[in-house]
Amino acid sequence: MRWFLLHIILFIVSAEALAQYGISGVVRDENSNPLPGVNIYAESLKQGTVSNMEGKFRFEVASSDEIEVRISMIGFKTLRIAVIPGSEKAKTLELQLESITLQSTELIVSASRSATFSVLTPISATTLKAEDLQTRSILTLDEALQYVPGVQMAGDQVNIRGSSGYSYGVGSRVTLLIDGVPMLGADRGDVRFDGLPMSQIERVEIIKGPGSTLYGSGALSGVINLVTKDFPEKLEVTLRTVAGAYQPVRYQQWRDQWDEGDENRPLTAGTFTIAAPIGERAGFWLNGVYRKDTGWLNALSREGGELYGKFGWTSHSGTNLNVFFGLKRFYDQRFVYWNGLNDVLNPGSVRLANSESRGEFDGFSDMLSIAPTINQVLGQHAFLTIRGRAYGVAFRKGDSWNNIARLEESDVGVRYGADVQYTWQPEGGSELVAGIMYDANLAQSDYFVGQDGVRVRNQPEYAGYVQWKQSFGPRFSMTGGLRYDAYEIDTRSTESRVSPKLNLAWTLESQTVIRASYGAGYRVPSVAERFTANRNFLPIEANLTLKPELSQGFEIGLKQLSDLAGWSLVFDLAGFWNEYQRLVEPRFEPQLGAFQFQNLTEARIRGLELSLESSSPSGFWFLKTGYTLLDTRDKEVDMPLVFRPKHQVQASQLFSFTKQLSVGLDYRYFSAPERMDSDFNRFIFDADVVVPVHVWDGRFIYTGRFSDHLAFQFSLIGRNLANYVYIQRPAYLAPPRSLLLQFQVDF
Amino acid sequence: MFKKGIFIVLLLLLSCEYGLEPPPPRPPFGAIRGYIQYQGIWPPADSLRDLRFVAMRIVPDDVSDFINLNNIDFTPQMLRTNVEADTFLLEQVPNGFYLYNGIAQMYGPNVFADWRPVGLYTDNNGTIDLRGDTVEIEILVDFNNLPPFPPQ
Repeated sequence: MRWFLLHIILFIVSAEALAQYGISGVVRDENSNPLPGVNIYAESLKQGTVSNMEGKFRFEVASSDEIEVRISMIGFKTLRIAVIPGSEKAKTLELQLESITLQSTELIVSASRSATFSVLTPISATTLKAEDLQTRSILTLDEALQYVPGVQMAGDQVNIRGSSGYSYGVGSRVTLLIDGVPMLGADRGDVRFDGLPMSQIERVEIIKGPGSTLYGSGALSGVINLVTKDFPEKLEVTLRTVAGAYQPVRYQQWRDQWDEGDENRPLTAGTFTIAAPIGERAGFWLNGVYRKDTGWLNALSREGGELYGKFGWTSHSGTNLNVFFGLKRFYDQRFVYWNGLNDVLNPGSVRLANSESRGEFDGFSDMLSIAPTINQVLGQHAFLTIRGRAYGVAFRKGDSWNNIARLEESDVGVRYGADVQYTWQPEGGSELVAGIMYDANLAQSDYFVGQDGVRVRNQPEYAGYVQWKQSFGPRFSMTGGLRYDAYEIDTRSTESRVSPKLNLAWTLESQTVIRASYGAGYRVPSVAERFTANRNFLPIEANLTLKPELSQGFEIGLKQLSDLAGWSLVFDLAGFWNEYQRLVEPRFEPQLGAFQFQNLTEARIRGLELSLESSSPSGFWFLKTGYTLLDTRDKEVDMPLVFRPKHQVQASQLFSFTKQLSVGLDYRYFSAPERMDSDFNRFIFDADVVVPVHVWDGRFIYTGRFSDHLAFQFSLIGRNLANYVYIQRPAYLAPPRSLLLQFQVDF
Repeated sequence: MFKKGIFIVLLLLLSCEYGLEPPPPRPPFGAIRGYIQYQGIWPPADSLRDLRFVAMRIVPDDVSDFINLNNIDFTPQMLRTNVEADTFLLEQVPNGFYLYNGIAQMYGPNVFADWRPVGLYTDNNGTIDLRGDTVEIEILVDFNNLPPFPPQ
């Protein structure tokens, strides 16, 4: 009996001691958007939690005495409130944080496959917003990426922190996603910059550094994710026209060698967008583009149309379906390389034993893509995402719109597949992301026919990945991940790879985030690199023995957000060190009399990147600038890697004189590469000629309204204002000064 | 403040260099001046029917490429034989890249087939880049150690 009484007493005492008093509520920003990842912390008790994706939080403490709770998040002013745990008020807290910079509420999805505030991402990431694209009259992604610090465009190849150099248009070391769906060409493994709905992009996310743990092959040195716009709450119609011209190039000596060299070369475009809700739970947008660009070089032009659409529907139970599609057809004249520095406007040729290759080609480039996505909510803390895709590109010979080669006679690449992703976000700021995926990569071309006589090649890929994010207290978080990829190489063998990553983020009191990251990357050579045997524009022979490229990247960084007398400042400093093995580069093989892609190089790219964003208190002036220092080394020859600039500077300013009138000015500088491709120089006259790049772009924007329902925007855009003469890639002159007029109306 | 900013921007714009420029005009032909050093034992006279410097735009697959006149240039006269060293000057050579260059020996009676290289130009990956000027090269011929043909 005494034992029984003792147990009762102990139970009552311990129950009292274990009594828990709840503190819960929701955190939002000034615009009432929920804020995930906010730290809610009772310092006196050393207890707290982190808000979830809906901005909601809940934690319990052992005392009902009044305590001070600190609500903090990088990029927002810290809030301190007194609460009595367990009280009605403490259980229904409605908190609002005030952002201190324009960037405070910027989201990034691609850094971790779930929405994260960009200031909190533990890796280097940057974004371009819709207005950045629209006011510059951006019609293709490559035009947009020129304004991103640390990114260089080498013709149709994107180069993040010096990763790519120039590799003749095949095998991108950066992967491209649309709303998280991979969109690399199945044949060349490249980014097609012109088949993307640039008018309907909400933001472009650029992740710098290896990203294969989340995105597999191709993300050797970075990821570009295009996040498309959502649907409006009411009908919106936008019409835009663009008209302008490239000036003739600066020197008469060059103009004299092309009949049309003295002419202004027109560039026109028109776009329409219609977006509307359908009932309460559905919506769509449709975007059409017509473009005619006569080009600034002989045998460089394009004309055609694009059509994009997105349809979305959300069920009563929270299931969300989105379907994106795209269609494109262009007649393309492509200029491959010049005829030497004394004749830069005309394509050159390469004469070898019994063949002559020309530095130009033409035909019709088609694209068809469809990408359905289903999001299914699985309870309060979990959801499932299923993404499908079919992405086809074709290059078809033809001399007119009525005479186009049949598909089965053309170069065709088709990627199709799907992935399933499970996301679990329990209380306390932890997150689990796991998934599986499969993609088929089919490529058909006469160029890929080898000794086996096969004309259609396939490199299917499948993968599984898992990532766990764990918060340790209010200031420290760690994210670790692992991905297994396997690629079938033309059914001959399978290449597999495990790619790990580890990210650390430490938030200091003073709006400072220190980050450190390690990631692995790899890239399976594309069908084109492995199988191309072609002498049309350069002699190239197949190499079936190519191995995947590998990379490992380390980065430490510091981000500081400040609000100094109303001036918003975001400062970021990153140091990075990337090691590459088995880099695939083209090399001329004398016994073949042709180029061949080979695993040539072990390389190291390290450097520093400094970026600064600032805006004045009145919003009159906005600055975004970055400097990148690259130290590249080809370890095999102990020389710098080819076609990489040591210094890069990009700076964008926007002056808003009134609500209606603003002027923007962009500048980019790349130092001349320290080394050029000596094999290419053996065939193309003056392919080793380089100069530093200094380019100024400007824009004048006037926004107004015709009526309550009709807004307009007029822009005058100047590109390469100083008419500086430089090359975009080896043996390829960059565009001279061009002026564009853009007029847009929004109904 | 704003005026100063505009001034600085204009100054930067105006102070920019123009970048790439066309090269000075150059003639369509160049010349190759060579110095040859011979080593080893000279072949007998009956297998030394001709000896020329040959510049080829292509890397030959077989001996038939030696007589592809669209792709080669060669010294107009036979080079001297049984000497320790020699020089030559090949003029009026069309500008371009010459990928396989050296001294060729005609060792038999068949002018279309009996040719072989006895010494190759090896600097600059063996390539001569002719741009209207005179390129000077050196070639070592070692009759005891002839270069492989076709090239490896």
